[in-house]
Amino acid sequence: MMDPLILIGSLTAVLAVAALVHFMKLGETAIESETHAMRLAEDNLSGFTAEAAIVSQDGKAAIVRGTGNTVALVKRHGAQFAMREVKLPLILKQDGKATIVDSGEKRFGRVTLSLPKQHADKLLTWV
Amino acid sequence: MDLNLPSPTQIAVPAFIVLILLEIFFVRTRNRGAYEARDTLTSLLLGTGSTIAGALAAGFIFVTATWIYELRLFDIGYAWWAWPLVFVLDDLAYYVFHRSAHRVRWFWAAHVIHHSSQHYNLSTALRQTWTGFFAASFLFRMPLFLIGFPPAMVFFIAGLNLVYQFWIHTEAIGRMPRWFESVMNTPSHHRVHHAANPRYLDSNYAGVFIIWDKMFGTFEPETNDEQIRYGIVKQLGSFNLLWAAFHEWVGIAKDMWSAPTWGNKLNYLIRPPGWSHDGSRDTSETIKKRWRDAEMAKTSSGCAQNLPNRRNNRST
Repeated sequence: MMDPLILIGSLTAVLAVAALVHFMKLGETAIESETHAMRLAEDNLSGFTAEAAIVSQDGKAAIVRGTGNTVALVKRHGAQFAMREVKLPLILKQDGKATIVDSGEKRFGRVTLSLPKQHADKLLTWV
Repeated sequence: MDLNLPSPTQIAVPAFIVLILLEIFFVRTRNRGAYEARDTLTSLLLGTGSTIAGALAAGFIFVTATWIYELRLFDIGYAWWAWPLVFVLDDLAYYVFHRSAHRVRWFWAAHVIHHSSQHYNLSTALRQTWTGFFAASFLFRMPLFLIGFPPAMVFFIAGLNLVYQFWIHTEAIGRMPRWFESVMNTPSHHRVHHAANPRYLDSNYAGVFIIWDKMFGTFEPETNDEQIRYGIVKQLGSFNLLWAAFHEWVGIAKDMWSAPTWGNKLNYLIRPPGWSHDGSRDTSETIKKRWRDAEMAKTSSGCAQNLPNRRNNRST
């Protein structure tokens, strides 16, 4: 069986390493542009062909419209990006200036976009 | 005679930590996206959990191994030549296990945890299974005991194999000398294995020796033309430990529950990940085929675009 002291030591080391990475501010990233969002969706979702994208002002999320009435949600996940192809109609919620889109998948969660009015209006035409 | 051999992985833990720290300081000026705090925490906690799960299962596995050893075909014992021989054979057994772990969903459910990070660094190496015992992954080593290699020897060698695989989980090393790359598993070969890019899916299953992939047709070299995307085809998008450890098991249970026939229920266990009874999902084969078709279409459209130019050039 495992020595409890070894376990405590391991957990301490784990927390120390993760804290070091946190305080060094490693792993920061953002969606740089609409083209970047479209490329992310195409690279990560097999068979997805992007037509247009709307990117959150903070670069943490994007919605990409594809051919054939398809839509992909892109979100920052750590220093990388995770995405899902979602079915239309999108489930949107407005919370102040934030537009919240539900992926329909509990663990993937919701994607929050901070959008200027013209982009928020444009998104409504995609829904 | 039974030797009381140490656990190579336990001895190596301090070295693992030192090497992770060195890699963190190495990437801080070169590739700041190589590490991310929540990802690192998840990887290391999954590693700790794996150690606990391994300790809980160790007794049963050792007893089973000893029982099979009693039925051995040869009395090999601890002869000097048996050590290098079992190292090679154990690595072959690892190749068979690892290939099965990617091609049979039952084994994949236990192994996917190791591929669930979208990062590729030394902490990823420690993101190990919690459910390997449940998936019966230990069965792949059992032929070694039946041949006649003592359990203590095999488990020691298996530990060395695992320790070797630690250092290949890095982007900090480009390529090793050509002679080394041609025989040994290296960071370059293993980056390919962890890639989710269609061209790289289901390749480079080697543990220590890359020769198995070359022998059995699963070798794919790393190309400089395409940036690697690490992780799985359908990224988790979550740092939840339990979800990383159990999500594929949950998926299997749901699929089996809703499958229309007993044959389909069984297929959800034994077919490759992504298989579905109605063909609505992608397997690695369908993803690769779609990618190849798209590449060919690009090439042929490129040729078609060039043709008129050539004709024009001729006419002028």
